[in-house]
Amino acid sequence: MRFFLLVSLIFTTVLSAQTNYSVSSINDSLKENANAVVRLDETYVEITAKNKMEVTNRRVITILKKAGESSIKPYAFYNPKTKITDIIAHIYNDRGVEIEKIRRKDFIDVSAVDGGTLYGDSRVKVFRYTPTSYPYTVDFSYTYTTPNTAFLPRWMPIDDYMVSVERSLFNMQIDKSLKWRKKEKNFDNYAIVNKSSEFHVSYEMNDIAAQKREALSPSFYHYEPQLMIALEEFHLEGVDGVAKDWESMGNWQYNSLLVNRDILPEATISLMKQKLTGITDRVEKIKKVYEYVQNNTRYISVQLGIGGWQPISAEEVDRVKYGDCKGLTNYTKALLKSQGIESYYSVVHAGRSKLSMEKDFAIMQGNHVILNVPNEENDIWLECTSQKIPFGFLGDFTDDRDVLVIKPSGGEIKHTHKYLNDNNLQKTIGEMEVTDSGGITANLEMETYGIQYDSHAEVLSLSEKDKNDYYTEYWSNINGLNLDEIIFDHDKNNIRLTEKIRLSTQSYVTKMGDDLLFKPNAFNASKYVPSRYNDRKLSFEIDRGYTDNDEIDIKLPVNYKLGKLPTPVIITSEFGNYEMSIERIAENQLRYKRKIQMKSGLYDKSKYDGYRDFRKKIKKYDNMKIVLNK
Amino acid sequence: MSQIKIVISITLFFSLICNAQEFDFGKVSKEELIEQSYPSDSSAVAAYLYKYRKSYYVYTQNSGLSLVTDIHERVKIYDKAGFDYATKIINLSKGVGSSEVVSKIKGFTYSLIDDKIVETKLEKDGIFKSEFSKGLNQVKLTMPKVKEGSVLEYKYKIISPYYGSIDEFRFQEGIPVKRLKASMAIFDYFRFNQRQKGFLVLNPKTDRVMNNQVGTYDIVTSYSLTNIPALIDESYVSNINNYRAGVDFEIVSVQFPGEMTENFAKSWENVVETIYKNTSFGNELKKKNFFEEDLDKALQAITDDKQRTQTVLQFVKDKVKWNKNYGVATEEGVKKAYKEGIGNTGDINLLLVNCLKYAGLDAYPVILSTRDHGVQLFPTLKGFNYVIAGIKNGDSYTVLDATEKYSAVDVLPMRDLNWFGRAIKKDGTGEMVDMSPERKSIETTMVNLVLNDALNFEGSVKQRYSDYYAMLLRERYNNITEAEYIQDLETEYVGVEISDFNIKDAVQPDKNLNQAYNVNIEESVDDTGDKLYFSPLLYLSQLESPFKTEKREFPVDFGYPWEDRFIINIELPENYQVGALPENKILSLPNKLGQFHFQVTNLKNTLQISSKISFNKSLVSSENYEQLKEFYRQIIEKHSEKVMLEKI
Repeated sequence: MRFFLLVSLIFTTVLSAQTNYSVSSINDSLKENANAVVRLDETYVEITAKNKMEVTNRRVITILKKAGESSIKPYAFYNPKTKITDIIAHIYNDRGVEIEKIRRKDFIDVSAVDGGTLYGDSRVKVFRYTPTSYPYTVDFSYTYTTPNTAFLPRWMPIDDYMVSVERSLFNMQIDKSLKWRKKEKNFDNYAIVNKSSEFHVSYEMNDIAAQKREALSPSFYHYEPQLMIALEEFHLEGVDGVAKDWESMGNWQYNSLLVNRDILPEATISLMKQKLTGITDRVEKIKKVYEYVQNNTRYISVQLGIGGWQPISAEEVDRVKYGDCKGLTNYTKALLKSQGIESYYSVVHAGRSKLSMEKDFAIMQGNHVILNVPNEENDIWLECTSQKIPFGFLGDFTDDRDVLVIKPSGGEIKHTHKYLNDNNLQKTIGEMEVTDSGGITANLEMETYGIQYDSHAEVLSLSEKDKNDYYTEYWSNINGLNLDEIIFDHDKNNIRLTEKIRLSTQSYVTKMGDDLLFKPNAFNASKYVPSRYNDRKLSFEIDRGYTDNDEIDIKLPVNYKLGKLPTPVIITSEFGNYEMSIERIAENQLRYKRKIQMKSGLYDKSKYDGYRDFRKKIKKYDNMKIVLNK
Repeated sequence: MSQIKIVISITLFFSLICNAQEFDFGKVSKEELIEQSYPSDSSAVAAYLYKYRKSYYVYTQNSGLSLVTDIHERVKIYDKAGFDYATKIINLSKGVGSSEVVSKIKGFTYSLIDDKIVETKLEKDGIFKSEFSKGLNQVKLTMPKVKEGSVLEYKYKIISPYYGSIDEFRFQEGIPVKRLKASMAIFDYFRFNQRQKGFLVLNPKTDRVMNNQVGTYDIVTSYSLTNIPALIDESYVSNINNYRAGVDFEIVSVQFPGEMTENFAKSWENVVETIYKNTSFGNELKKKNFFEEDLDKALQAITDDKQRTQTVLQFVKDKVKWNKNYGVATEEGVKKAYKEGIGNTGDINLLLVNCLKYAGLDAYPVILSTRDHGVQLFPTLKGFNYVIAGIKNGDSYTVLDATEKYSAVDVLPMRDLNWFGRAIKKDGTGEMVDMSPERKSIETTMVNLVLNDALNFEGSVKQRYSDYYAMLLRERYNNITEAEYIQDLETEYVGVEISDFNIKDAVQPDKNLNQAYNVNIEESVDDTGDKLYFSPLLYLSQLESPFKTEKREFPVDFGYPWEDRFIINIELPENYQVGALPENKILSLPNKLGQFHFQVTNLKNTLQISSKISFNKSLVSSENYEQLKEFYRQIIEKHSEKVMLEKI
């Protein structure tokens, strides 16, 4: 007991350290590019048992201008098991004089479940303060206690773009009886002070200047320093857990969250069996089961069961035919299992930005679940929440990242499919006729694969009117565009969409006296040049890469003569390649060819201007015009 | 809200009036299940086959007077994209003592399987209750076993203790409604208003029906509609809810037997009078001694009325900041708000009225409904949610709102620009004030460029913005760093590099905003060897129409009338001469609603290009949409034309 008393004493002194709230005491270097300055961000965590944790967070932030207000983070989450014991905020003016105090009763208490979710028990206390002038300072602190130690607070000292940090402290006191692990990530390039001892974790970092937001910079996550800590024995909403590595983490998740939740009624098993009769190929069987799930269920978000980590049982999903990602994945797994096919529930960080599980550090994480079906060298990954996505396709939501595959024998990290460069192909062939009156009519066939398929396939779910609007927006460079016919050929087996489009416009060509001037690249001309920076600070990323291939035959009006044709263009660069050529294939007919390949990769900031030049040249040649004489 | 103090003589025999319904609960037909798409709208992902609502009052000795609403809905799912309609959210107001409750929830999903109708019951585990916030509970139902083609049906009852507040009747949704029945039965003791909205003809029927429970007649307003089209949002619409078909009831007075009439509101005069009599409105307009000294100082030597107006507006803005709360009346009271420096719209703008009057100006509060609150067509209390200040000048009003930093005299925050407001006089009478701005907001851009030997354009740009343009730009500029602002400009004007940026009057709201910078424009000339081609308006060309969609249902709302003027001077290289120029053009929309002027002149080795697009009104009706679309098509065509230079 004495030990704990001592700890609380330290803790009290740490948190009551005097702060100078006046704005004049902020170092000028921290004001540069900053909308807000975090004067102090302090987290104190005390773990006294594997199911007993108290966390205190104090955040003192000076808001220099309105745009900095989003960095206040004026909220504290809780739920029936996680309780907020103390919460208070003080507001200071620019001279550091207190002007308002926000007490517990002044906080707004609302459900923290987003509108799309049917049910969840997460709640949040928030405060709202309307500044009468800038700058001002907010000192917000709260303490919560929780039995859940499966997730421990992380230390991420860098706050956000356009926010500087004067001081960031992280302290964690862990009871001697508990074993724990830690991982320091991206610590190399930062002046981080480590004052830790065996049972006390203590880190700090000071004077971090604000970083401007820059186009194409990689996700914050890939370079910000981060400290992660995990207990070997932990607790989650009434369930104890043990994990040293991914294998044991997977094992625990299997035994406490998944086991026996894949039991199905006999009637469903025999229905499945009946549906698979006559199919001998294993992959075809998996496909059939997946299609059954797609055609008979729908996605609904419900956060229930062990803090939202346990799936609804397969039996229940079978009865109501809806579920969230966990429920539907577990249901698909159960259906496959009933037909003798083994598959694994897999936890992933979903989102456009590719976030991986920490390969060498097992920790509860992830926000989505997909299904892994082992298939020799070529695993099949199934997204069970979509009623439309082709069998085995993931798209940019879960592609190319490390995920946790949960097997009865334990967990394993596996990497999902990559869609890179040539995989993301768009192939356009077509004919375009320039009319005497200066308009065009055209017939196009656009084929897309990979991530380009993923984005193009969205048009399929639009209403007729929205489809029209989609294409007038897609070719917004064509004035007065009329869509005469739109036909889709959606080949889900080969994961390919073909859009067959007939279109026309009455004004495309510019008349210049007797000459006609027009742009041969009507349908895929890039106007994109990334923003210019005088002094770029961050590296940049082409995240997936793509290839576009265009071949358009152009028929010219008969009474016009072609002038000199431009010479073919070939540009090669480390970011990709570009080729363009125009050749005469008949008296009044041209063939326009264009190929662009963008290579995915992370590039050093020193190469940014080179990339801009590359895009500038593409823009120039894409928008080049040719002249016809009468 | 006052409690009911009287005892209503009740007949204890409680008898339900059963309406004969063609849509009996549970009688889902095979035809409904077979139907592949909505007959008159094939793009509908789902439809209400039947939407029924009945609201009426019930009195019981235990809980007093309550408002009961019966809901019965039958929904057809045509497409997977319509699965969202398989979940129903019921919002329930929550108070300290009593709250709204939902009961008798019953639901089934019907699907056709092997030509047989299969029904699945909505069980308890498909019903989720949660406390959303302090004042709001939510009950969500999600229907089981829903597939494409399924028909869902549910009904429930809401019992509300808030008898004076009747939820809006919504007749139009994002999907079509095949058949709708709705009714509102109001006690004879109540007087009420109803306001109808949207473009549908509603043809309500009014009956007097004996209420056996109370022993008096009810006024029953009922609606029966078929094939209500889906309401689809469009760009340049201020608030789509303004066009949604529906009806709103407002209780204006209550007179129980043997009691005095309790008035709420009835006519515009009543509404205005009621608001005026509200102590946090009328009384607040008399308070002034606390600011007199400060305001005297601010006004000292200023005699010109216009300048006095601007000074007072700035004075109030500096003194009190807006806490983001709307309201016709004050929240803190003008005095407290003045002292603490914070208040709602009532606190701030009633203070503004008081200060303006003190400064000798003929000022009145102007109450209005903001854009997100919709349009009020009938005199109702809840139709207004906001107040600003107006100064009477002969027949018109100069309007002011001190809640936003960059608003100015006659330049209001965008939320205020909605239909008509009402200026309120001391005697409780009111006068209509048109909230659409009359004066055009003007952008003037002057560009001086030299086309150099490397075929890049170099030169300087000066831009001037007035009124709303200036306000919106000030908000943008002052919320980000100057570097970000320049970056944004470069992103907007593709291919333009900006240097030596300079902005004037970025904070001062009553002046035009001026900005100037140098530009370098690369890769904008097509060189075919002996000829050069370029767009005369360069990066200022309008190359994309904001109006591409084929048809339009609702008026285009720009918010304010506007004019964009560009004047560009280009000095040409000496070894080139003009080969061809775009022709001049003038275009006009009917009644000079919109105009376009385009002119190019060549003097020796310089070109002068001027382009002007203007709209005299903020609103263009949907009947003029075709013409508006064509107007833009021709502008873009003109802006896309080229100048051709020949080598000498």
